[in-house]
Amino acid sequence: MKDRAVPRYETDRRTNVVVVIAAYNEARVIGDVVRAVLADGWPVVVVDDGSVDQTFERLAQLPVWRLRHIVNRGQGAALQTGIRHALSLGAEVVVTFDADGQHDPSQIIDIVEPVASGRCDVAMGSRFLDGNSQVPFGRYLVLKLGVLFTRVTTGIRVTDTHNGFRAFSREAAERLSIVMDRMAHGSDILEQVARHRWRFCEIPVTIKYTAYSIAKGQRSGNALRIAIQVLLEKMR
Amino acid sequence: MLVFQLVAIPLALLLFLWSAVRLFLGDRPRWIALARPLLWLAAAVAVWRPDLTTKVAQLLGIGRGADLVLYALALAFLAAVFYFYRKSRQLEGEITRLVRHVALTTAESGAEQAQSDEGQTTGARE
Repeated sequence: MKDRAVPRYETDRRTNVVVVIAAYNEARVIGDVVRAVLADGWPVVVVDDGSVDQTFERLAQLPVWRLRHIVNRGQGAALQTGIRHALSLGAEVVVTFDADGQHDPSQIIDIVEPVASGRCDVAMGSRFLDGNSQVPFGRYLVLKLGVLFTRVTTGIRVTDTHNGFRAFSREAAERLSIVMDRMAHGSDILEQVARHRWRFCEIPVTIKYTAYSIAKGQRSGNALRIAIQVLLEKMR
Repeated sequence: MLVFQLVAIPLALLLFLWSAVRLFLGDRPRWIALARPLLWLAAAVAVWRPDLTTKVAQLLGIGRGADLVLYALALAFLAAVFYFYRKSRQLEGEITRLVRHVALTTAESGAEQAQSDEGQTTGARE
């Protein structure tokens, strides 16, 4: 355990990484997800986004920072809170990680590496770069439409949008200000990548589609709502 | 007089009086607050003498007074929608900032001893 607790690059780069997890009503899985991340030696900050189940209590026995939104503010808001806390802990790289078990903790190192080595300011996971994610067809269609939409609204070329697996350099995290509190934060982040001209890269990640994560995840119908929110925000 | 006028004019006048009284009851009347009683008064006048709105409409190149009122309402409605959308986003942002502040100031680290074991988290102190 002790040996695993030191990621490879740590010895020469002295980079401090903090993994931020926003959780809303994830009591069933949050314990396992957090334990898996801890087992790989990463410090964890969990933001309980006003869950009405036992999510917050499940974290009590774990060596993590736990923060609680007293009312639900949405994933974007919760991530922003967690990132803020990670920065106050002195993080040099901040990773965002989904609470529902979709992401693979062993890939955190892959997404941290390009940021820690200074190759880019923001690394974003993409489920379309290797063929390992079994993306349901309906979801595939919606995500690819999202890619096109992002291209039109921000001018950024990505292969995946709204993938919650990301890494930010300290400088980027400090300037990041997610104002789209709810699900549209994926577009919000990409927009800021474009605005601040951050160097970004996409890293192949595997998304595990389990019955649980599909049920908990976004309904495809939300995509339209997100698009409308993004456009409304531009008119504000 | 039409039935509608019999109902609408007294109602508009009552609302005019009520908002005017409230204006003067307030400890510091503001000029902008005059708009409310004036609007009710204008509504009463418009119902009482529809030909007056038609005159105004014709000045603007619109045929009927009713059309003028309709157009004005459509514009006002759109303006109100945008205004309230903006307001509500602003309010949401403020709530989020409050909730975030509470979350950050009450952050707790579970199992302190485990954290020092890890030796990973920088500045992990309460």
